[in-house]
Amino acid sequence: MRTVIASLCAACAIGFAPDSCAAEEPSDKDPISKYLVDVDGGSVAAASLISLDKSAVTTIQRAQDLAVVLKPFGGDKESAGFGMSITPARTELIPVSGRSYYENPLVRLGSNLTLSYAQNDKDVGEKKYKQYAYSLDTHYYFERDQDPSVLFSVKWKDCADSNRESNNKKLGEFNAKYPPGKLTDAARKELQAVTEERRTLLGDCARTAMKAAQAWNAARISVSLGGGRIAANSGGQKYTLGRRFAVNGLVGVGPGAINVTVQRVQRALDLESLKTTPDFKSSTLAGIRYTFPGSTEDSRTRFLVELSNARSSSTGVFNEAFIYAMGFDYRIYDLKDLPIWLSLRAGKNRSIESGKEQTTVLLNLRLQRNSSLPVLPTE
Amino acid sequence: MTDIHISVHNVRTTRNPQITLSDSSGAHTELTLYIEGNPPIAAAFNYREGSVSVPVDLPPGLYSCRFFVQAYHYRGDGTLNPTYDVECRIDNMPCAAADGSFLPDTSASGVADFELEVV
Repeated sequence: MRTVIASLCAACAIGFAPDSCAAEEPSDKDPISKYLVDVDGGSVAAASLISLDKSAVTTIQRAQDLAVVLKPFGGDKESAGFGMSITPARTELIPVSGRSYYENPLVRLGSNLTLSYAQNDKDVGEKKYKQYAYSLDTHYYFERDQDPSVLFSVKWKDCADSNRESNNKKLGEFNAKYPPGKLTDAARKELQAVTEERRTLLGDCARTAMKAAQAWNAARISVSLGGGRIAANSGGQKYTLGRRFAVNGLVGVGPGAINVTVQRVQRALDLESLKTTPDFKSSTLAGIRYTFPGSTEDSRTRFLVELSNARSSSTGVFNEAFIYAMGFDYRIYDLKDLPIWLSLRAGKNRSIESGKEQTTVLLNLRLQRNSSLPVLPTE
Repeated sequence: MTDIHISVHNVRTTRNPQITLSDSSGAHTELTLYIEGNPPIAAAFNYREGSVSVPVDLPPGLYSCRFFVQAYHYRGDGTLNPTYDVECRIDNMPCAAADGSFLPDTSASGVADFELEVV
């Protein structure tokens, strides 16, 4: 039995990631996260498959964005990494109405579908390669009134109704100033200013109300599918980076929640093996986690217990995942919008070097907006 | 901020008409109808409720009407898309309608006048 302290840092800024435990992770990722079964939805986004920084990903919101982001395909920018992500129903390209979203479960599932693509360069040994990845991700809330889009909409209307008199007064003043036949361009601009001011007011109101009403443990499921390819710039060598499939389910149990997740990786290429003989690995990781956020609403501590099948299935893919683990996150200090959290995880996993089971203890102190465990409405 | 073009039609109907405001937008919208000499008829729509109908006590006469459309989009907060598709009907006769799109994370508004004749 061996104890490993994999991560310890004091009050460092977001982005701290000790070399010993997170050399390949994006700088804003919790170094502890790769030891746990990933229970977050949408985890197979294309950029993450090829370790492309999130800042290089453009979110498509309008047809014009699509034209801009596709330019690199034919230009000099092609050598740089870039990605794009689009949720068609959230754009004007395939506009879904709020009524359809609320009434039809299939529309809700389809409306949350995000398509993403990413590409970047990768040096392996002395050779240069280009990586390409794609991903499809969606999620579904079993209780539609807990769906964030519906919840925001409901709270927004509550805010609008409670501020109705204010809007009526402003429109009444507008009517007095611009009677019938006097609707000039200046009048329309004035109405736009009134409307924009109201948009801000109602948005702030709805966000606050939604935060108080949202159940972090609302039952939901997320599904992700992704894959990629890698090709030598000099031509010739082309390999699959593998396919990844993940299903995550969450169900509330009292104040806590149970997450169940299954991740399947098929023919994942070990990039280091490109120096010699390409090696492909497949594996399935299944895990279950119980999260308890404390018995009071102002609790500063989250607890978790986790079990996975990492022992039998993790060869070469989910190397470091815990076989079983427990731990907590404790909010030590409340900086405005950026509290300090102490995270501790302890459990059994398998040593990469020896392949034997070992006891691993991870301790991490960091400034971060959220705990790596759920955020409660009171926070 | 976008200017919404509203197409309007003058309407002729009988006493005490039913006013219906409806919404099939991806954005959040507010519709307000002013009928001369009467308090405004206004509604905000969420994804659960797509229309409201109210009777209005109107004696015979010719009334100036004004219809306002205000649409809002909030990026990342759950609004589906910055599109609007709204309508106003009087006794099931269309009097004002607008549909289109605007920039994400902004608002759009429009105003138009028409006449209502109650016989």
